[in-house]
Amino acid sequence: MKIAILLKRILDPEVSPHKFSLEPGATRPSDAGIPKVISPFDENALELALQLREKSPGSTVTAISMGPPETVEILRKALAVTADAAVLVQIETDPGPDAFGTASTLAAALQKTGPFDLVLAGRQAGDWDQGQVGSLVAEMLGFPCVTFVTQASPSGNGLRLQRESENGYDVIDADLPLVLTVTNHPGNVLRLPKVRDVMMANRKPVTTIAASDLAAMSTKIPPLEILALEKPPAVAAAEIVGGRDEQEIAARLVQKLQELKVL
Amino acid sequence: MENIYVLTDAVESRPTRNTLELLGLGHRLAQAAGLKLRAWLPGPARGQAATAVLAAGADEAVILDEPRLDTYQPELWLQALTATASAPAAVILPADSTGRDLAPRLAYRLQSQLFTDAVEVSWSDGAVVAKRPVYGGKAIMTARVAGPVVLTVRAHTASPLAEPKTGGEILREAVQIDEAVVHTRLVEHVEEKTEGVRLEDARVIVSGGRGLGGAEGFAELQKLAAILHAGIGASRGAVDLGWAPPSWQIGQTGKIVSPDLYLAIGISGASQHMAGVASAKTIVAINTDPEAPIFSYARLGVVADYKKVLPHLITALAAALKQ
Repeated sequence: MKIAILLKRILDPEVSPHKFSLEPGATRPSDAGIPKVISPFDENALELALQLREKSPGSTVTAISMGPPETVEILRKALAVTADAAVLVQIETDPGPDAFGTASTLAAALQKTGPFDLVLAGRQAGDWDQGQVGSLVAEMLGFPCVTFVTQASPSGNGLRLQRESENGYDVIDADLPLVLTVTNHPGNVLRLPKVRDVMMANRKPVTTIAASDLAAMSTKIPPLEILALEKPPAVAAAEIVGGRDEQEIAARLVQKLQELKVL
Repeated sequence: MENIYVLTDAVESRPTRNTLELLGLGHRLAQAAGLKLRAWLPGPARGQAATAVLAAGADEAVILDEPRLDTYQPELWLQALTATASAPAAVILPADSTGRDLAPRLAYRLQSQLFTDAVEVSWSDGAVVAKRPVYGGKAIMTARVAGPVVLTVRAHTASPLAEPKTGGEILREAVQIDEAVVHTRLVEHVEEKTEGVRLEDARVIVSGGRGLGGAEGFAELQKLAAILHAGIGASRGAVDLGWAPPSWQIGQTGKIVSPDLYLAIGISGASQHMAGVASAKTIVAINTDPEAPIFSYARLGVVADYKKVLPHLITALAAALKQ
């Protein structure tokens, strides 16, 4: 099975709201002093790709990312957890919220470097949180798509999947070729790299393709017209309930809850 | 004339709460834009809700009269929705596991724009203006979307109509289905056992995070939940550690809840978690770290080890609720 995993480099989503700054009128946050990481759900998808390779001998995993040259850092991380190959689709700045544009460039890159039997992506990127690119890539490649997948195993000529739903999960059999978008689950937390593999990763080649050299499918759909990007309204800090000991704290807390009539 | 579409869901003849919200929103948009609101009811089983769907705001209830649509199957639903969307100005889907699954693919097939996870939608100068949280809730994006658009809208962000609407028309559309498009087959649906109260309906929720220190912490939370008749939730961190099942996850990428009281225990308050409780009326936090962001969202806070507070809290609550 030839597997491609789409990775996005984003501002660390764990950064505290105080360090997250927006210039007036800007349509992107300032990235000064904030580390960039692999989008968390893409890490879950990468882990699923590695597990599928283990369950299906002879498979390969190719990590693909779109961004400026520094994006190679996250591709090295994918190589360090033993992805077989890495492709950088080079553009000038980190991709913004234009999902149709991003998906058409990635679909063209997949066609150029493939063909792939399986394309994985996180359910949504931890910056714009749109949850669009994976499914749009499926449409552009003409592949079926299963979203919110947590587990996958080879089954017959296709895959048997677990898909998260509101109050449980669905078991789904899907044909290849296929696109999966992956959501977090205790079974797909990304493994840690071995020291030796980290060193090997630095010597593995990363293929670079200029996005401008790709015959990206033209889309008539214009990007969103962003009118504003603002911080949410501030909320007042909590009233801290104290006391001599835990018993008194608990009693005071219950009293406050009764006053607020929420019990 | 252009139409606004809402994808509806129902249990027998009763539309779901989320459907009522989307129809309320769709009705207001259609009124503002001078357009007609058409509701899709996929499959004859959902057709039983047609009268209620009209009362909830639709001008036309369109029953997609094909029994194979009764159960959700994305490829068949996409085929049916694409075929029956007639001059769509806006298509409104729920931001749940169905709507989020369909929206990008439907937008692509209708060659329309796409705006997901909206928390506010209005009509202004001939275009949809919508807001959504981005960066895990650290920022709110407002965008103007001219031309046809597919939207997913978060639960609890729009109001159902206050008074039932009268009139409207029920239409049955015979949809041609081609099973050759089916490449994904449902083998089994597994319901996770929820003991006690469903999170979506819970008036009180007790929720735990990484600060609980282990799965056994959730056993303690269950005692508290039992006394309060509360639902039990978890942060993404606790789910990833395997301390709580994925169906307990609350947040931007888990369940969106709106309880009267949300007790966050050992939860740091990452914005992506708080996005799931934005409409909670009162948040109470117990955390050992006085700097935890949760204290800037909570109404009341306790800076202490939950293991020491909880037994006293359970006793005090039991006494207070007995009165």
